[in-house]
Amino acid sequence: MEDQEILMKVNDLVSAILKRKVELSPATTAADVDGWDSLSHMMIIDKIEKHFAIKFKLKEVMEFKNAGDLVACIQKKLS
Amino acid sequence: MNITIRRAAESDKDFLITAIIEAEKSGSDMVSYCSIFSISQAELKELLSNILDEDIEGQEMYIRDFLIAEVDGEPAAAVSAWIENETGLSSNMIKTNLLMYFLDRDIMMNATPYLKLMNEVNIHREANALQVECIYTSEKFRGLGLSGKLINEHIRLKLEGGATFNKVQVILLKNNQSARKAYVKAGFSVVQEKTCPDKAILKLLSCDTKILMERKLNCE
Repeated sequence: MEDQEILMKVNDLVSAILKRKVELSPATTAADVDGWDSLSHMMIIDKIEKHFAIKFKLKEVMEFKNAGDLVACIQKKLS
Repeated sequence: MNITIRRAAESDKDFLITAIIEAEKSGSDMVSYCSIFSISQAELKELLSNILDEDIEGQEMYIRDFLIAEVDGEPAAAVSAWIENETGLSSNMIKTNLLMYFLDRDIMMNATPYLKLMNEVNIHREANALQVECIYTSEKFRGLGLSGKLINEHIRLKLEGGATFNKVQVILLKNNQSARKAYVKAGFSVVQEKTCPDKAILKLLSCDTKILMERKLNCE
């Protein structure tokens, strides 16, 4: 799966959790997205893990500084 | 009476767990973690032990960011302090990641309605401000100004280490009058108040309102 495809899917999942359309770019951080607080973060991570059938390690989630980091990690796990 | 202040070490874990739980109670007998996640105090202690073992900076449960005051060699008080967002993530995000990692996913998801309630009363921590949390003095050593001494020492050490912040923040329940008096004495004043409109919050906390207190520093 291409990085762009993964980003689009993450975008859809985040939009579903936040109940509005968001536009993520690789540089987007949680602080940039209205409503992406610690509670929605928990639901977003859970949804992503279930959708892609992956499990993030603690070290990995701690290193997500932006959407690009998240996509790269998902890509690594899918490869 | 000899008072000394030192950094916490792994061997202090039991004392720190007591500090975290007692600070969370804010003078009441309610431990919000237990109510939110439907876990026992024994399970909570295990959870806190696991989180402390991870050594994750940028939030209140990092051993190296605790200072301990000892009175005649006995641990008497503890305070945790960190610079908000220094690692690039907010302390709330880091704590959420830790809880998700150690708690069963069903427990986390079932807690969502309670976490939503807590969101209504949680106050945003300012990036680059020094945050103080888990402020605890064991009962027999109260009245010695230990928490104030610990906060001052945190400020001194952080500034000595090159940190550049110009305010210190602490968040507490509005009904915690003894803590509020201690912070006023330590130079803090109330700058923000947040009340949860849903009284169901009183199932989780002893008060529906949190306050943010600040102490501004004049840093050169």
